Amino acid sequence: MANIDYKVIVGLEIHVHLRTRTKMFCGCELSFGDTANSHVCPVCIGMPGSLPVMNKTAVEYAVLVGMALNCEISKFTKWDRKSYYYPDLPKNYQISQYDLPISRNGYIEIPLEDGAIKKIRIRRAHLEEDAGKNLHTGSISRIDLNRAGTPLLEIVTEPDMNSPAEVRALAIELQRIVRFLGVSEADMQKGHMRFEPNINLHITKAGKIFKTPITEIKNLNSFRSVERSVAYEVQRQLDEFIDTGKTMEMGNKRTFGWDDQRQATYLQREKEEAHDYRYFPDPDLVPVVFDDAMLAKIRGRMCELPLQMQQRFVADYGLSEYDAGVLTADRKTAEYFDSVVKAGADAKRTCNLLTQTGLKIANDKGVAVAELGIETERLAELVKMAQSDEISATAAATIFVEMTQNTEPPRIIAEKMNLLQKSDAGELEAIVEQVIAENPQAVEEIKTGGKKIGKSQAFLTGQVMQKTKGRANPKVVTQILTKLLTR
Amino acid sequence: MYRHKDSILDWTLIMRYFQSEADGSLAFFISVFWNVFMTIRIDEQQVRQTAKLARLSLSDEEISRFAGQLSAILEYVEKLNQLDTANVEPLAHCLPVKNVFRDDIPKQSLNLEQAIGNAPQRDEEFFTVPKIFDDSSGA
Repeated sequence: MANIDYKVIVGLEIHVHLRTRTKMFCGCELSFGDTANSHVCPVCIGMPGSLPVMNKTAVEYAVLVGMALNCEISKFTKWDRKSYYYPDLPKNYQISQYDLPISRNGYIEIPLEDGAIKKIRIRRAHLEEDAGKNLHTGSISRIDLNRAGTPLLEIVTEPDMNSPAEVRALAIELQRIVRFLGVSEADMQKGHMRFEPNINLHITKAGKIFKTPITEIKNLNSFRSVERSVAYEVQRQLDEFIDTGKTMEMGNKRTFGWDDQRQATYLQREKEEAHDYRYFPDPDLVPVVFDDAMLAKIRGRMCELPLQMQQRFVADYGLSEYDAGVLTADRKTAEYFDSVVKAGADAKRTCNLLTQTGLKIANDKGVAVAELGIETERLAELVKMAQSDEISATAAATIFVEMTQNTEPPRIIAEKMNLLQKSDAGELEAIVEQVIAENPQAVEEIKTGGKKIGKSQAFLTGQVMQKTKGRANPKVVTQILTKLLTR
Repeated sequence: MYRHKDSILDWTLIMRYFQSEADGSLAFFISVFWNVFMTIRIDEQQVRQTAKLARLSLSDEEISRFAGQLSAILEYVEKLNQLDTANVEPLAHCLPVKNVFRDDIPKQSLNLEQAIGNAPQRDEEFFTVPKIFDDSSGA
């Protein structure tokens, strides 16, 4: 059955924590890892008689994401109650948006492995509140409501993804976007992003298309688990179809969990009937009506998006897709790089310094590469020195490291560290003459055009470098060698 | 006023319905029933289903009694259907108010004793409930 013809169909629901200071509907501060129930109040704890009030920043962030995802922004939006039966939201409902989400009908562009760009349609993105945490121990469950009421943006795509890799690419691209916009830390370890793929297969058999029953995988919180669980589910559905021939019309939608230990999905529940969430408008909250001025103000905060920037770095600066991807992983690094290049530095050299030397130091220090204390102008000057062969690439890296703890201009540092290259032909010529005199065998090899000519040339150059302690400009040395040996 | 402990653990959807009626929010009350029950007659099976969804355990006597009471309420509300609403815009809120925002500035939260002092069961700083089986929680 290895040659069975099928197409993978995946849609994704993504929950993103917004990086506001306070909760969606009350002034409790957002926290992580603090004492349980230390950031709660009558509103988020579900006391009768308390009234929720919208966090303006959260609403603006949600609109900004909608704009970045090319969505239509609803001029009129409202809040609905969604019935919920677990103690981590003690109101017994979740405040969400049902029929009038903040934004809808957009798309996101994702980079594929072959360098192509694919458009995935966005069905909607709406604001809601997160639940608290249920911690199960022994015969009881303990409830921590610190997270209850955290502003949560739920983004729903159309089923436009056709492989596990595309699902992963979308997840990563969305993380980059919300980070660029500054609306979410999107830290996986802290559960800031959660994914729920909906998966089925369209199998072609005997000229007919069979659609397998849709399954949803709940609560994935890493890129790896998203990709692997989708891959696993594709295989499982394929096997199931071969065994049972079951199609969408015969089976209910099922919900699966992902067991990271076993690297396998497991059945959570089969829906006997569609969930009845009994949505209805929340009488405690008034609608939001956006006028053009409000929307224009929010649009003013839009920045160049990561994929556009990545493409610009490739097209305008001649970087590889890979390098451009590394530099645009976060906005500070991307903008820092961009401004150094705009200050006259060569893009490829700047990129190499930042990705090979800078990122390592930055990671060790736990900061962005832009925060290492090297101003744009100073870095540009350093790169220009390497461009004009005043220093070697190796020396540039050494000076870069020094510059993170020394505020002097790179030229001064280079002088102090004795790293300026000798390009003075007169001075170098004397040294080359000396090396030629000391190594007659290699010289003979070159002059007679022997087999080891290349090796001998490299050997002589190496001798010059040794005598100058690596400070000779190799280009100039080669020129002089050629000149002296051909006279 | 309701006691705090009720709000954390034992409140269920049906209690919410009655609570909101007590609060006088008739629009809320109507809309809930409108969504839940499409027909006027509420039979015992529907009461059982609603009770199950609301995690309520009701006696046979209660099921029969509630079926009658809920049907009577809905019959009364059914009068609204006599109105012609063909050209009426759906109402999102009963007050002509919009855009009530709060600045994103932290306020003092409750202290731990205020927050969980009234909880029927607790473990240190946590509320506790009987263990949740089949946990599909998560907003």
